[in-house]
Amino acid sequence: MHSETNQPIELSYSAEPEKVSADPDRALVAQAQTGDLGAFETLVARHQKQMLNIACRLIGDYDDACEVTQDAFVSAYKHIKTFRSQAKFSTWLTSITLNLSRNRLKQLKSRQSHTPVSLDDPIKTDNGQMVMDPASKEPNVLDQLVKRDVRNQVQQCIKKLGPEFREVIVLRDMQEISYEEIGSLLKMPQGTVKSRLFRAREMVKNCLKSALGEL
Amino acid sequence: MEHNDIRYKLSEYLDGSLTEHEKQEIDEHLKTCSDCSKALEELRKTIEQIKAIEKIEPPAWMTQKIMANVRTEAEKEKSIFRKLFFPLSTKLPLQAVAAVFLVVTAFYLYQSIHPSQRIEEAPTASVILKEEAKQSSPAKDKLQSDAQDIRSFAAPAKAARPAESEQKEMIPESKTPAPRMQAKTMMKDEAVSASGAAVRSKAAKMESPSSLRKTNEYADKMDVTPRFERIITERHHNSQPKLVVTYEILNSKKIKIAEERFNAEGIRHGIQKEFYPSGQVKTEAEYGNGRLEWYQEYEQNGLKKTEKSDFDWLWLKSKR
Repeated sequence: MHSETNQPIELSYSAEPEKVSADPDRALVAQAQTGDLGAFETLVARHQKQMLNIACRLIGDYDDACEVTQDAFVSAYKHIKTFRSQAKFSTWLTSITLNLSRNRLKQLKSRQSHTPVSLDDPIKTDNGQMVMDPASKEPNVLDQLVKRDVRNQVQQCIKKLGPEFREVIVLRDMQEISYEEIGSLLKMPQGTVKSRLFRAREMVKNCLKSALGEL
Repeated sequence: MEHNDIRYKLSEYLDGSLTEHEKQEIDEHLKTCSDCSKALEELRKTIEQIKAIEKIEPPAWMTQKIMANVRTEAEKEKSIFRKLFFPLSTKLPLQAVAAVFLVVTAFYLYQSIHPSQRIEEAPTASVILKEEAKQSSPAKDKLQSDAQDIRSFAAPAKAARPAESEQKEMIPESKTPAPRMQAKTMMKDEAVSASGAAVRSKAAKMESPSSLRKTNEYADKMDVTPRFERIITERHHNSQPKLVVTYEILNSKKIKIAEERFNAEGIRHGIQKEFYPSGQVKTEAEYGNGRLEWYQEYEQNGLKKTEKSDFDWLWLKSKR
């Protein structure tokens, strides 16, 4: 696992200030900071879809992504008084979602590593008889159909990426966030963002080529 | 730029994040390099495929669930705040009760420490005398005779009488029909101490010097005006005072200022003493049946006075 996935959750946004002169959420954030729940609800409605998509593409599971999105907004509410408008509210919220998603990924990976499953184990039935489940010798038709589904394959290829490459793909190509903002979110210079994005795209391209034959 | 550099820059080229110069350089290279052109095309298609992935729609309940969690969080914060600061509806009655409690407590404290309250609780000797006088005429006669006697020992008797030794041992039971007198009985200066039948109270009070007789008037001035209290601490068998001690009361403090002794007839007899407030003896004198036999006066530091006395003694003042 990449070292970044082991980072503790950070709810504070400590990246360098970005240009936030045109933050469309500024007024609502100010109201929410005074305890206006209606203003915060508007922010939730405005950003929940983007946060859910980021979480879902990073984690790869819809239900987990929904939970992470909820947790991200609750954390944002708890700490909104500490938000100093050095970044856009959406950037701050994305950093929270990113951190929670990383943490969830670590939990999932840890859970999977502690629940080993053997395909050769017999399956217990209600009547107590053990039924063997031999592997089919025929190719899985459904899998073949899925392989032909380009979009699903793209998602699979993205899912196969390491977390650090998946993050830049999700943020740049799926959420269309600027290099500058990605650098702030991931706490890395823009040059690193560009090179990492290039490598991530190349990996997806090669994955798709190997899966589909040609693009 | 070299071929490998250009391959590396193709990602940025597609993002449009290169400078104009870099872009022109790559455009020129692409015209001649089919590998780079093919790589660029594959990269463009890959990015298009990635961007073509449909956005996920949040579930319909998501906003409400998030806000429910947020409200729960807000309530937690409020409950913590409430623990520190009660709302006005709770605070006002609490403050009112606290204020009433303070006022009542302060009143009782004032009552308990005000000296006049305690002194007025004890019946004065004059009151006792009046009550006893109503009860029986023989008792009244007896009281009147007692009054006469007390008046007589307020000043040194001129007539010498046979000496009578003081009885410091326990007083024998009285032979009179009246019950035995209590050891400590108070009496009024010019009035009378009660007789054995008259007074059963252990501590009745009396005013001493005539200049301080107005008891009721002093009640409100106790904190600044000294009061005097004369207490009979010993009696002869015929209920006559034997030892009378006078105290000055100022600001609730009781200081002994004089000891006077009398014989069974109420004539000044034996050692008389007057004290400074510090407790140092001021005057010491001995009488024999009303006649001054010797005296000695002292300074406040305990040294004996050598000059002649002006006889400004407490037991002589009441007759002046």
